[in-house]
Amino acid sequence: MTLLAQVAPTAGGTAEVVVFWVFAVIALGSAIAVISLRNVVHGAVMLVLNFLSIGGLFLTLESAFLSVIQVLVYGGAIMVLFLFVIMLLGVDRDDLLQADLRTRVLAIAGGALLAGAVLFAFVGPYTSEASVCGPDAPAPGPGEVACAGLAEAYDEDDGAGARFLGRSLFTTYTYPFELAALLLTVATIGAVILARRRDLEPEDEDLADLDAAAADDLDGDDLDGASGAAAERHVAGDGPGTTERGG
Amino acid sequence: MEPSTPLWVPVLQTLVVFAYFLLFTALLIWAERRVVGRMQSRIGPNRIGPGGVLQTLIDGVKMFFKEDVTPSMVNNPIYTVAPLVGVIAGFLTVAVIPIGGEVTLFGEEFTLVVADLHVGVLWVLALSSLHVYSTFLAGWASNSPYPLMGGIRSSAQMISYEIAQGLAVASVFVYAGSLRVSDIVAAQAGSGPIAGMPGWYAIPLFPAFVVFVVGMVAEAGRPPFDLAEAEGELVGGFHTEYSGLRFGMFMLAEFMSVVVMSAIVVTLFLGGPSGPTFGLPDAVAWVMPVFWFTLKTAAFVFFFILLRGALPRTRYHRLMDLGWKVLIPVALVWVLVTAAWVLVSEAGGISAATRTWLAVGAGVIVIALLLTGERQTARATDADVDAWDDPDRDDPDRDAKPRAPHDEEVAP
Repeated sequence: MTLLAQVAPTAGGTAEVVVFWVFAVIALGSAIAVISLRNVVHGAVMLVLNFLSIGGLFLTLESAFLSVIQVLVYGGAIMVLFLFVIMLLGVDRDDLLQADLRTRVLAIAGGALLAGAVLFAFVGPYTSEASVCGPDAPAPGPGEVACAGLAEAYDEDDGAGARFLGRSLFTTYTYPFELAALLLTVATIGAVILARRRDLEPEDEDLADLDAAAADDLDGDDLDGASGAAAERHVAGDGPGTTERGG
Repeated sequence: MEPSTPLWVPVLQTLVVFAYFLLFTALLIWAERRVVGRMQSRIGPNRIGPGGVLQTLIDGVKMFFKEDVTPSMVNNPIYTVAPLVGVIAGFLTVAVIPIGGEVTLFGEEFTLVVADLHVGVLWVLALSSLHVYSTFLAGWASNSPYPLMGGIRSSAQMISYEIAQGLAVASVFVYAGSLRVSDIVAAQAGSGPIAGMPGWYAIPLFPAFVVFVVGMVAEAGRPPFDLAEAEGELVGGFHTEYSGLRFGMFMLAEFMSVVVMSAIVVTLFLGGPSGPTFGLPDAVAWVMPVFWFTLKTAAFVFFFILLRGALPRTRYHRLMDLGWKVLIPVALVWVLVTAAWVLVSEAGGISAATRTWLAVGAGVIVIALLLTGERQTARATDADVDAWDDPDRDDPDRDAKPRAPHDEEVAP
C-alpha cells in the first residue's frame, strides 16, 4: 500500500510514514480501549486520545487546519462536555454496561455491517493507485476515484487548507452546511424543551422561597434567639464527643 | 524549517524559548508574593538572594524532596497523568509565540520562535482547550468531594470562556487575514493611522481585546475567577489531594499559564516583539524586540498580580452571567463588525486607515452599549440585594412600607 504522504509533492518521505504508523496504531488501540474499558471516564479519556491521534493523522495528510480543529473541537470542547456530563450525573459506574448475550450479538453484527458499508462505500474507491496524488498517478479505472482537491488546496497557498475549506464550505456546500447547523439547533431546542421544568418559575420563585424561609427563621430567632444560640453551642461542643464514641 | 538549516538552530530556538518562559514563571511567582505582600502591608519572601528573588528556586527544591503522598482511594493512572497534562499543554503553547525578532548567529539567520505554524493562532486555542483536562481529571481522579466540585467548576468555567476567547481571537485573524502568528505580528509592526501611534490590534479591535483579557483571567483560573481551587470553600479545589512534586506541577502550570496568556495577548493585540530599535547597531539590535516583548508581557503579568491582590472572588453565577451574557455576545457582534469592515475594504471601498477609524468608532459604540447595559444589570442586581438585605424585614408593619416590586409577588 502506498501512503499519500510518500508521493505528495511537498511531503518529506520517511518521517511522514513513521508519523502515520505511530498515530494509526495509537488511534486503533485507543478506539479499542474506548469500547473495552469498564470505567466510563477511562473510556472517555481514551476517546480523547483517539481524537488527538486522528488529528495527527490529518497532519500526515497535509491538513494542519483540520488537524488543529480536530483537537480544538473534538478533543477539547466536545469531550470536555462529555466528561462534564458523566461526572455531574455520576454515571461513572460500570453496572450500566451490563448487556445480555442477544444484545451483544446484535451489536456486533450491526457494528460489522456498518463498518463494512463504510469501508466499501467511502474507503474502497480511494484505495487504488489512481487515488494517490502524485506526478505519475495512473488514470482511474471503473469504481476508482482519481486524486482531487489537494492541488486546489495547494493553489490557495495558505499552507493549511483553511482558506480552501472555508470557501468551499460557504459557497459550494452552503446548503449541507446550513442543514447541519439547523440540525444542531433543533437538537439544542429539543434538549431545552425536554429539560425544562414546568412546575415552577425559574430564579425568582427560588429566591422568593428562600426569602420566605429566611423571614421565618428570623421570626423564630426573635422569639427565642438566646436559647437557639445556646443550643447551637451545645451541638458544637457535642461534636468531638460523638466522634470519640463512634471511634 | 528548510533542510539546509543546521540542527543546532531549532535546538537553540527551543531551548531559548523554553528557558525564557520557565525563568519568567519563576520570577512571576516571586514577584507575585512580593507585590501581594506589599498590597497586604507585609513583606513577603526577602531572605534568599537579593530581595528574596531565589525563593522560588528553593521552594522548587523543597517540593522536589517532599514526600509525594498518593491517597489510596484515587483512580491511579488518571491521578498521575493529570498534573502532567497541564504542564505539557502549557509548554507546548509557547511554541508558536515569537519572543523576539530576527537573530543572526554564526552566519545563520533565524527568528526566536520554535515553530511558526500556518495555524499558529488555532494551536494556542487547541492547547488551552486541552489544558482543561488537567484540573478536570485531577478533580475526578482524586475521588473526593471537594476536588470533584473544583474539577466540575473549572470545566464549566473554561468551556464558557473558551468560546468568548475563541471569538475574540477570530476577529483578530479575520482582520489580519491570516492564522499565522508571524503574519499577525508583522501586520501590527508599522504605525497606525496617526504617525507615532502603534499599529496594534488593541486599538481597532478594542472590544475583542477586552473580551480576551477578561477571558484569559478566567482561562488561567486566577483570582477573581479562581473558583476551581477556591480555598475558602473547597479546601484546595482540584489539587486538594495532591502533594509534593505533583502539586508543584499544578502550581507551575497555573503560574505558567499566567505568563503564557500574557504573552498571547501581547502577541495578538499589542504587536508582540515589535517596537522601536533606536537605531542601534545590528549586532545588538536583536535585543530590542526581546526587550519590548518582555516589557509588554511583564505589564500584563503585573496586571494579573494586581487583580489577585485587589479583587475578591466572584460568585459562580456572576462568573457564568459575565461569560455567557456579556462576553460571548460582544465577541460575536465584534466578529461580524470586523468581517464587515474587512469585506468592504477588500472590495476597495475604504482605505486601511479609514478601516481602522471605522473599527475604532464601532468599538467605542459597542463598549458604550456594554457599559450602559452592565450598569442596568448592576442596578437590577443591587435592587435584588437591597430587597434581600432590607433592614425592615423584621419590622412588624413592613407591609405598610414601600417595597421592591420583587417582594410584592411573594407576600403571602
